[in-house]
Amino acid sequence: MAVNSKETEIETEIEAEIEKNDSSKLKIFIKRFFGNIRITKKNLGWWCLGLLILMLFIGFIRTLIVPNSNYIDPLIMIVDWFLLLFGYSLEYLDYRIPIILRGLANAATLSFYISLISVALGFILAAILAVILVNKGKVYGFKYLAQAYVDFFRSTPLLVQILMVYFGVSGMSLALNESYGIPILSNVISDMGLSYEITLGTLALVLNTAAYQAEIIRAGILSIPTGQTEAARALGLTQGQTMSYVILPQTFRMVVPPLTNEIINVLLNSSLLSNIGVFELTKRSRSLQSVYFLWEVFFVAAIYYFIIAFSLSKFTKRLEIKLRIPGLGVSYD
Amino acid sequence: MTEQPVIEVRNLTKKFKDFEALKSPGVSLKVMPKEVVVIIGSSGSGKSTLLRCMNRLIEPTTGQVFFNGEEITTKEININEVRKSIGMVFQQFNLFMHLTVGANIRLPLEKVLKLPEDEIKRRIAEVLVTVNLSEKIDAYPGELSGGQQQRVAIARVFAMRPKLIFFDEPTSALDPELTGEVLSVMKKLVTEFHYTLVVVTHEIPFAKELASRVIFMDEGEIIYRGPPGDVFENPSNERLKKFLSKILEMH
Ligand SMILES: Nc1ncnc2c1ncn2[C@@H]1O[C@H](COP(=O)(O)OP(=O)(O)OP(=O)(O)O)[C@@H](O)[C@H]1O
Ligand SMILES: [Mg+2]
Repeated sequence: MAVNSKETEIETEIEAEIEKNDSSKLKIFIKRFFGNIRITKKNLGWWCLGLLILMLFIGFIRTLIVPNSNYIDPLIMIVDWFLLLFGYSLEYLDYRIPIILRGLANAATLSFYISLISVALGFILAAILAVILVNKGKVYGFKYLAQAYVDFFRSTPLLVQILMVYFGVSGMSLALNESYGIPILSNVISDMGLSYEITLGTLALVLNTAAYQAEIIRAGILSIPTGQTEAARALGLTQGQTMSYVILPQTFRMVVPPLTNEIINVLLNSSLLSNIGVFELTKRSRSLQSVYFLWEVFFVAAIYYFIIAFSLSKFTKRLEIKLRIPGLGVSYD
Repeated sequence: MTEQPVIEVRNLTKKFKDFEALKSPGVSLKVMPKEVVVIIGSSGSGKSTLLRCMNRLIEPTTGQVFFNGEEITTKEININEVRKSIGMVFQQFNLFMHLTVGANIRLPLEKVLKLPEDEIKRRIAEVLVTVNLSEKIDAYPGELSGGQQQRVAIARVFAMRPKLIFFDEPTSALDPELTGEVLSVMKKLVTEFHYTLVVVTHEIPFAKELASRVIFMDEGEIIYRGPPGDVFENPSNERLKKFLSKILEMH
């Protein structure tokens, strides 16, 4: 309430100023802009996040201009300036620190991209699976197949799935090449300019997260009251139209919170890809550790994971509130 | 030439597993154009089941339903076509919670009737005037009272210009002070627009005033039917008498 009244105070002040002198538009703009900037305990997280993203963005732009630079350099610079106050610098403290920070930053981007792509592709597959799973009758064979798929991927270790996909696909591709002359998959993928390990690792993550997301979406669909379907069908909408215009739009609002968890799960699970030689955050920290013999490498990796996971949850929380509709499930604070 | 019934039910039965919700030899019923048929009966007597069988939200076990003389209980019929002309209003309103009032009314006009945009806009504005909710066009159902939601639900059906409308206890989920506004909209449909209605309700005054016929159901059968005067003033049937005295006690 206090904040509100303060804001209206500023608004009226601005209004008064407009009346007084409408030539100083810039001044008014500046006042309006900075009048809204207020750091409170509640939005502190957003300020930190915003600042972080700004720095990373500047860093990213800088990589386009300055060769051999890293997007995390501006952040390192800030830390350096801060240490300068005490007469130190990162490099002076330990020459390995900047190298590790930079090396892991690149690996963190890879982890981030892999999980984002996995979740997005997994979501599409999961939505199809979920629709098949809740379908009454008709496509019976499909339903059992979908259920078997979900059960299998939810009841076996992800690491085993990753190894199975990686070695299984490689083996099959070799066999197909021998008997039918079909080009070897690893060559096809590298010809496309992609990394074989990353592609197959992502595939394994997609297959895994699709099973979990399918369960989430299925539960979401079932949580929509049957009255919604009844009303839609009574109005003459077909089963397909009812799904796409009535049930799924409501479901997607309901499943944002559990899907957030799933995105974070996938990010953390992506560390298992280190086992098939994907140089993501975990694999990179192991190799840096073996070169520099610094356990702190893993601490930095953990912090990187934390920053990504935390930012993701912040953003999805925001999305959740944005998508909120009065009377429809999702609670907020 | 005799007039054709809008909807006719012949020997309709419905079994849920072993339970006979509509008993054999089945329910038979004719609804003539511009009639208001009120169905009364105690809980579990099969009123909702009968209504839902008539637009095949529930598949009847045996029996036939004819709409405008055409059988709609055959496999070949496209039931979605038929449902364009049969509106249904539910006890729980069942507005689409993720859509605004305007969008709720728009959805079937756009996706089912596939009307042109200007016609859709015209109808939305028009039906909202009818139910007296024009200012709520951009509100979400969750922001409305029960009575307002039910009026929107009626508007959504009304905008389709159906041949007949089913009401399944439209006021039972409402606080007593909100039933009036819904009943008056229903009354408007009858007196101003001359709609054919089949109404399941326990609102005896409404039935007395508007019903052309009253049907009393009990344990999956139609026990008694007749003009409202007969049914309410001097009921000749024992079960009906009991039911009516129970209803009067409650209100
Ligand atoms: N899907 C179903 N599966 C099994 N039994 C059902 C089902 N739907 C309804 N029934 C049973 O059929 C009977 C009639 O139900 P119906 O809903 O038609 O009653 P009603 O007259 O509308 O009652 P109410 O006034 O409570 O709405 C009830 O005993 C109910 O338990
Ligand atoms: Mg009922």
